[in-house]
Amino acid sequence: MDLILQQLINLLSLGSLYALVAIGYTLVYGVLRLINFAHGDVLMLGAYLALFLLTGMHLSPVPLPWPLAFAGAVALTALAGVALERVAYRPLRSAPRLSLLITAIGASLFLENFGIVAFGGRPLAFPDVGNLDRVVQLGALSVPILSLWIPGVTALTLGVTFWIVYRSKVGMAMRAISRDRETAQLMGVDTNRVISLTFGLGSALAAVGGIMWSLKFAQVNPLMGVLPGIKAFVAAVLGGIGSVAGAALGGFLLGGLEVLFVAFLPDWSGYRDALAFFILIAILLLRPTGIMGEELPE
Amino acid sequence: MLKVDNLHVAYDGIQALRGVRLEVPRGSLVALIGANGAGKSTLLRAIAGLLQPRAGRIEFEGRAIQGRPAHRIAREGLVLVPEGRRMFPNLTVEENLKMGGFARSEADVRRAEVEVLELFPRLRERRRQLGGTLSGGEQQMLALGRALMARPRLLMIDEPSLGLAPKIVLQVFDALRRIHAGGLTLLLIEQNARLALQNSDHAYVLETGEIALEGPSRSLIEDPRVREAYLGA
Repeated sequence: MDLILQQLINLLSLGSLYALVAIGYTLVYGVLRLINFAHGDVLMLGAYLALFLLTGMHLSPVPLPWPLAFAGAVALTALAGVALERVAYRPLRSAPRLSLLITAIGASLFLENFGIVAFGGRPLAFPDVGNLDRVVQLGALSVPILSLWIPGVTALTLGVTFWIVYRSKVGMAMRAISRDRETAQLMGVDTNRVISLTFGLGSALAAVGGIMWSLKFAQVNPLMGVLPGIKAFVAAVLGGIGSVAGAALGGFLLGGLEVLFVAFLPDWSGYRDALAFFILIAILLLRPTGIMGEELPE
Repeated sequence: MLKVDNLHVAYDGIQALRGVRLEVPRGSLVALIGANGAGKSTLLRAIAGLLQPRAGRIEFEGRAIQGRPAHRIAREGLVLVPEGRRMFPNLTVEENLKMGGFARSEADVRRAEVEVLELFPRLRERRRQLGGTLSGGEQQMLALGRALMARPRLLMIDEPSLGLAPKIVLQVFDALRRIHAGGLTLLLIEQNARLALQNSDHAYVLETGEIALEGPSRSLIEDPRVREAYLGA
């Protein structure tokens, strides 16, 4: 029983992180039909920005209290995402899709190397804020508070995201653009603006994920976005790329599979990262549209 | 209200329109007929801002609009119902309508929705359904209703009868007549030349990118060239 509860908590906190980052892939894919390979690196940027604001390095003259630092990092990362689209992707709006994909890989490499040059290649410690590593007793279980915080913050963030995508006017425009950009223009929608907002939203989610990732592993490094980025991409494909609900589901599913894999095959735990790739290959072979993905006519 | 002068449009290396001149007076219903590939859709797409003209002038209510982005032109009140209806299949009927009123105020949208649902009662029944689940006729109603939500001053409609059963086509044209009777200026493309000429005041015949004929619809329908080429008589 305790083992199951323990694994459930692990699942929720790992799945949360994948879900948050996966939604960014799916949102951008929706409006641009682009896999934004730089998305994981945007997560890294969010983590560094949070660290700098928190400690008063580079960006902020004084250390900021953590709620302010984290909110500031999320906002700045959103702006960075908007800038990335403006600089790297918008000039290619009418170019073949392959050019866009190659540009995304280029943007990813650029951000990683920018990180190494600007922030240094060595990992930096990420401070514990608000005593999040304090342990609480849940029955016989000892659980660090952070493991409860992560699913809580994620639930809140997902709630806001779902509201934006499925209930707000700009979310409606995002969904409309995902099917027919030209007709959305005919309805008076400034599609460039909606695409910018989509990048902003996706990048903000990546920043939330990046900050929680850093709290969990207590350090940041310029390549920290690579693996979560790839895994969240797998989660988005698993859930059905283009579907926001699917991305969230895929995130928790991938998190769950990984946790189960490690729990039941401890000898194989070194292969936990390979599991994501195995799942990716399996989906692409068996059901390329994922669990909740819609069949697209093209 | 709308004036197109000496319009040249080329895309994919093809000169699709050569020096087109066309005028839509306020309150009129103007039809544009012509064979497949004559450039009818190209003309409407260029007016709507989806294609950039190579040369020429497009004037809407006295202001030059060529080269402006499509969403700005739509906001000016010059709205295109595109060929093939193009409703958003992943949005509900109600959301599709709301998309039509995207650039309008909440109050405007609510008022327009009442009018549109009165005009197309079928849409009220289907409000919560996804656009993709509607029949062809209902989709055309939705496409028209969605465009009306934008409160256009001039509505351009590209092939409303395309792929619809004859009975449904009559319903669509009935709706168009009612919309026009309500005071809206219409510019209509139609493959079915007879239907177009019977339902319009003035018509233009487009042939390989040029206006070949124009005149009051009543006299074009009697014109031997039109009868031979487009009315099959």
